[in-house]
Amino acid sequence: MVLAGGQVDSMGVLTAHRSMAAVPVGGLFRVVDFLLTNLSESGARRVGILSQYRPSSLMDHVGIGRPWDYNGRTRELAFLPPFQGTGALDWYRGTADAVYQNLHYIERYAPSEVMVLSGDHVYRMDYGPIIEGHRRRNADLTMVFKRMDCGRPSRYGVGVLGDDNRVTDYQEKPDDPKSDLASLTIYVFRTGALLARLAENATTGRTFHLYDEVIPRMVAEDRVFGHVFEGGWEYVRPLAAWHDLHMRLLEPDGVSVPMDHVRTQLEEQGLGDAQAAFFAPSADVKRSRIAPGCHVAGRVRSSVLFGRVTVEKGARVEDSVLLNGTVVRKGARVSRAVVDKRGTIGEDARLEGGDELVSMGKFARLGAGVRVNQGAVVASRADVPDGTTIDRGGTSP
Amino acid sequence: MSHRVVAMLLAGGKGSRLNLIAAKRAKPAVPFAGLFRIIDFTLTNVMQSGIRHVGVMTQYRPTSLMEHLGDGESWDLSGRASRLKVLPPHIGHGGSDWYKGTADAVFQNLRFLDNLQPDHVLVLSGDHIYHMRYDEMLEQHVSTRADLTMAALEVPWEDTSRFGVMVTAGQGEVTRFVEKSPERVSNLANMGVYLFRYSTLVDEVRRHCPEGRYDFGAHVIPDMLERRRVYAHRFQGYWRDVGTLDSYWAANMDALDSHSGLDLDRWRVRTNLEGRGQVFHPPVTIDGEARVSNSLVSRGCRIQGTVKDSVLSPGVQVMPGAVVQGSVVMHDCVIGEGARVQRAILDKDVVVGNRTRLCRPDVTDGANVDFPSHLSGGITVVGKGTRFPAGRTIGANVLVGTGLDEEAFPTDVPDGQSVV
Repeated sequence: MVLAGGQVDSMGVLTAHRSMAAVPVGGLFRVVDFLLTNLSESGARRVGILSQYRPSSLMDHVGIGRPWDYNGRTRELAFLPPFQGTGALDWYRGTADAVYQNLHYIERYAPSEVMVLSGDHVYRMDYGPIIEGHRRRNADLTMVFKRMDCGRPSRYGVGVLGDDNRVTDYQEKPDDPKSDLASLTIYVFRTGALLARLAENATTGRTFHLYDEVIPRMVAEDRVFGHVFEGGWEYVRPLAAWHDLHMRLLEPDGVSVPMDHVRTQLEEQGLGDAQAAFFAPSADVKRSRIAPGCHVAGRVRSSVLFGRVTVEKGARVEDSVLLNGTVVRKGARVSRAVVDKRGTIGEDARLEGGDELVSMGKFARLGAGVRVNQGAVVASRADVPDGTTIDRGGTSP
Repeated sequence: MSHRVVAMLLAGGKGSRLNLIAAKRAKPAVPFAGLFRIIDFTLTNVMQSGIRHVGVMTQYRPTSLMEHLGDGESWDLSGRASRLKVLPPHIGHGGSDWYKGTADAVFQNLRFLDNLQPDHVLVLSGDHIYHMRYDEMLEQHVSTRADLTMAALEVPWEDTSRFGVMVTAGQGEVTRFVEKSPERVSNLANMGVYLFRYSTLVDEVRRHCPEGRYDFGAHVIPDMLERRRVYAHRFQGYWRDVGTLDSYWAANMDALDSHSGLDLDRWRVRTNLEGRGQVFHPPVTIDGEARVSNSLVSRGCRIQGTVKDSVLSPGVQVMPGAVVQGSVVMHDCVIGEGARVQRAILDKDVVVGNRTRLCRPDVTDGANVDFPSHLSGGITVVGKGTRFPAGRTIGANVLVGTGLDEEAFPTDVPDGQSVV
């Protein structure tokens, strides 16, 4: 059961029209691709995606899951949006409630274990050994942790492990964490234990969230074990961290999560028929990642160009991430910028961040000679007239 | 399209003049322009012309081709109203065996057509690079009430002996058709795109094939001219038969320049990306010291050296100090540090050792001694999986076989030699 519903505010223009799981990453992928590749390769045969916030682009992207081999008689991927029905509530009140309202989906297959995972993180993991450990210990719940600086107050749920990795203490975002073990929102439940705890939470809960109601209760009363993950883990929030991830992608071993062997869906991105990236005779590209269908005739430094991006001759792009279909016209300068899909930066326009990034929403168009200075945000679908200047904190019309 | 058209695609060809590039795969399955295979161009035309049923007639080493075709989904040829069916040679009535010619291939698959009962049948070959709307050809075919319409292209007079050529009159009726002749009859070349009225096709192949007349160009069409309404449909635009190493190399170079007429962006060629784990490849990585210009570079490539005027398939690595120029480099090749690859075609998985030099571009005379007709334009061709040691020089017009390891190259290889 994939939690892919949450609304995220810290991602600026990128989540104005899509959920966190649908945010593009790495030049070709979306965040959820990592999770779906993990699930597919770990042998999970049924995947339910709990979506609530602006699910349309996620649904377009994931479809029925074919790129991850979710087709055929025994492998299925289903979207589980909020619904109305006899006795059922309407919107998901929290993560626990979202799973609870879809118990019918779980009961249909009567699995021995149910995994609940967040779709918002970039990592590669084989869940097989975690499930094996869960069964060996006859656990009610196994949760995955990673050792890291959790911060004070902690950004994460923090656990304490005792003998045989039994979770002896768990607090959600504590002011004063008792360990360096941060929860990765990867849970393996014994189905019976999950059903019982969700039924209980449905009547007694207040927030209806797994992490601050169901998990602490289970840690106190049930057999809960921890698995410590040693592999790479990348945070893609907030927007500055997402941009930083792309900059590190350009350095050897700059990113802890391998970005090859990740399956994605190219048809929905309109890249199913994209040709190889074309570098014109005038192209001057260094330290960059260039996706299929790009047409580069200008100068590109330390940037990630997603599919079908055009950089015209005489344009310069530096330290930037340009999503699918961005066009940078001749003479334009783009630096420290995030441009959502199909943006246009007009001739001789300046889209230049500094300590703070500049960002531009999807389908936005900057006319010729427009200046957008650091800290400014150009709203999606904005059409900024020639010669306009937008300063820090300013938003386009 | 109110007239039902079924396409019959001849994909059997052993591309012998493509030499070892087509030795282990059918010619239509040969990679082209980085991501594509040659047959993708014809299948894309079929798809964009709204044709829903395609039979692909295979014969020579079809495995790689069949994997690529799959169920036709990549070209929207799967589903309830569409179909791509592979039609291999089979044993049946009267002990028919291998396809003995283009007409015979259709003759042996009349049952496939009989089940579909089309109004017209489009006979195509799967080894040309072009972009064509067959539905426009159909419009003419229907309005002229033709029995056969043949696509025709004006070619330079000096090339006419390489093609079948036709003489037309009035509204485009074909009055004369001559196969590959030195005689300068016409410069209107046959593109191998035939649109038959279904009943005509059935009658004609039944008339000729049992008599041992198996080929459309050589036997069937010349005989039809007196009895049937045969028209030419003029095609204007880029069209190349990539049947030789020189033409294959040149057409790849054309893909770098949309002024050549080969415009991949506009044509929107579709392919099946599932093969060879291409779907797993990340975007191209360009390192800090790299220089890339006038090149097509596919997913999964990592460029640390220099790439110029070249076409790179997915997964190619160009190490620091290496130079790749004017070359076609297929999937997952590795070009070692300080190596130079110029005017070469490297099949998949070739490893070029550090500082090894392939092909000196200043040498253009002295054809390959073993295959002078295949290799004389100054290109060097290397078969799949071959590994060169460090520090060798391999000359021009050299042919290097498939799957050789370092020990096969104890010394440099002079111009025009073969190592197999």
